Amino acid sequence: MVTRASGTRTFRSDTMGTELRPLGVACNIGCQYCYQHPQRDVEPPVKRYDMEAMKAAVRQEGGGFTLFGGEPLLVPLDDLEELWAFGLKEYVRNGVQTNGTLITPEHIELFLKYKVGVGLSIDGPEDLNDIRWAGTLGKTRSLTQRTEDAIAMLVQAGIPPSIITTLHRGNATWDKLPRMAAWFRELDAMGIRSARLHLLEVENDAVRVSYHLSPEENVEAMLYFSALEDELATLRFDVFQEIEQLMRATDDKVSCVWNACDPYTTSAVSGVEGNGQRSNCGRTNKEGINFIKARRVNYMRYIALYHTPKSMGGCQGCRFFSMCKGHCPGTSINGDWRNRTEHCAVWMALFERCEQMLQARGELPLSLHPARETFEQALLDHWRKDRHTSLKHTLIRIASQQSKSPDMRSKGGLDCE
Amino acid sequence: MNRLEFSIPPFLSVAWVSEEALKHWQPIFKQLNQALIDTTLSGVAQGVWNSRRIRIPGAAVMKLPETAKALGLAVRSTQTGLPGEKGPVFHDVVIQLRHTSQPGDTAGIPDCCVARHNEMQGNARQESIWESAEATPGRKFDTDTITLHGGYVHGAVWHKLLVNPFSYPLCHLYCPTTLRLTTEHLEWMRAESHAGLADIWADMAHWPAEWNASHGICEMRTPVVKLAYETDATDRPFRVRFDGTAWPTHGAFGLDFPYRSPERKRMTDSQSFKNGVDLLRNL
Ligand code: SF4
Ligand code: SF4
Ligand SMILES: [Zn+2]
Repeated sequence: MVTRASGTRTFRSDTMGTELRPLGVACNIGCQYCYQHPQRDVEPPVKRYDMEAMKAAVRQEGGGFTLFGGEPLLVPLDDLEELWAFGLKEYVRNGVQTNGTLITPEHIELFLKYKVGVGLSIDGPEDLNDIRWAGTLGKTRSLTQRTEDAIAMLVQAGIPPSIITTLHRGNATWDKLPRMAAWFRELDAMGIRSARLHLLEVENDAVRVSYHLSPEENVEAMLYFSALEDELATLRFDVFQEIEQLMRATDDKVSCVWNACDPYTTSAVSGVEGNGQRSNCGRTNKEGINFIKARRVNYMRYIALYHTPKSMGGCQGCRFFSMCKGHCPGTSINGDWRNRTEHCAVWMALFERCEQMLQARGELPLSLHPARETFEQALLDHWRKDRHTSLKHTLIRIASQQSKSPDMRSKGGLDCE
Repeated sequence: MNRLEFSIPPFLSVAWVSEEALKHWQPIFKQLNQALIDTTLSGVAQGVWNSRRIRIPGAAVMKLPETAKALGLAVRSTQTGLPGEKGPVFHDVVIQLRHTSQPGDTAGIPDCCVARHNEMQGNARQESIWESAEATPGRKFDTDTITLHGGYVHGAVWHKLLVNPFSYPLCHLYCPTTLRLTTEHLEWMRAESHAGLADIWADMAHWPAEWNASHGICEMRTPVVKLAYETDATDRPFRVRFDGTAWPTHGAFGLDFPYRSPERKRMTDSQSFKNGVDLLRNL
């Protein structure tokens, strides 16, 4: 099971361009909220793959790959080895995104031998992970234990995984947060360095009703983890770092969700299926159809959101727009990518918190900067030309255009190297 | 339909449901486009119609003046969009015999549709599908969604991918004059040895399809391909569903209209999945 389509990868590497899905979305468990269920609902399970077709497609995409699923460790060891040997030879290193339940010592040997960075999805210890359902409660709990054992094995082998945790009623209501905090403290003590927190986004009504946190609960949980981060030695929740980077216009490495993703091309994510077919990030797949990527990227969603009033699903007038841009199209209100994210209230609260923090440090965040509207216009100009660029580069360009007015730097906060 | 005060620059995104669908349909659409242009020109030249108004996507218009001249036709072509604007190019072309008078503003538009044409021009509208659907007899209306059955005039539905042989805002989507012209055009295509393409084009009017517009972006979904393009900006989604009975080769299974839904959802209808929902809800 996959907690979220890539793009927001936690083990970061410049080589991790493509998601290779030999067995499509096949998985050994059935997390209740998996965003790939629309595809599972419609498609028969993939049982075969073509090694040469996959390698050829990866080469065409260029830039390395992460093994992805569903659960990629359903692929037999020999074939995993062949793929990672190919990855190491051609792209220097490898990656895998797994639920961790199938990791054996043999897998760990391969991870070490072929420099495989491991991303692992788990929502907490014991019952807090029950939503990552495996058919019965007994089986679910035993597989959760196997994932926890896998984390320990990976740490012991000197390759601590990055963690992806999705927040929902099963692990992030106020009564459960202290247990989550204790768990993250343990992971921190073990030497885990990176965790990504995801907000639940699910189409299935029954699951949504049971597990969705209210915006207030999501905000509370996020702020709780943000405060927890201050106590942790090495573990960082990358979402808070990214928000700060965006607010300081040092965003050249932030994840896809902040980068004006076009749902027809999802440029941060190129999927390669077992038969070599190229596809988009599964986050946008609401119909259960693995559409082929469109040929040309465009940013019309963002132009529309900028102009559409908030009451109608847009972002008009939001001072965080340059940074947030309405967020991932796969999380849009009513599953309609022309709307802003349904988690707007959460992101807004986190941007506000970061704004206050930067101000307390004597910095001027982009949201309050006199040049904010110039930024927005620069982004819109780019989008009209079917281009997108980071805030960092936008800042450099604006600063060079306005070199006679050193205002941009003198106000403090924004770094223009 | 509540409009917002902005416009989206022209664009066109095309996403096919599968490689098979792409390989099968893209060449057919190319042939169909050429056949629609050729038969419109030959039909006017041979007096089947006095004049026609068609919309042609992209480069297909290049050879048109030469062919028209050879056939003794007068052609007035207007490129859509603003001068210098980026984005996909379309041409609205009015065709008539050269010895008749200069084509007027409404040449090629049936009398019944002129009022709609004037209304759309007056309001600087880009598309008229919603208004035409609203005026269609027998349409079903349910909170911002209009449903019609197959057999409608489908040129405007496909106008970003295919030649629209009736490029004017329709009085309604079963406009009798335009449907008669469609029948004539199909007969003429068959007479001009395009019987296979004529059958496909006729069939497409019975494919399920959905036009839906929100925030200035239209998403047009058909069983084999979906398109996104600029349209009039509205405050919320407005949908027109064409509830067809025909189904194309390589049409996709999917969860929403217009795709064919599976009888049972393999994952979320499974007992094991439901057990999880029930059990965890009560924990
Ligand atoms: S849809 Fe785009 S922004 Fe969202 S997760 Fe996928 S690649 Fe990232
Ligand atoms: S915080 Fe909300 S309104 Fe502001 S840009 Fe993000 S999604 Fe839009
Ligand atoms: Zn009419």
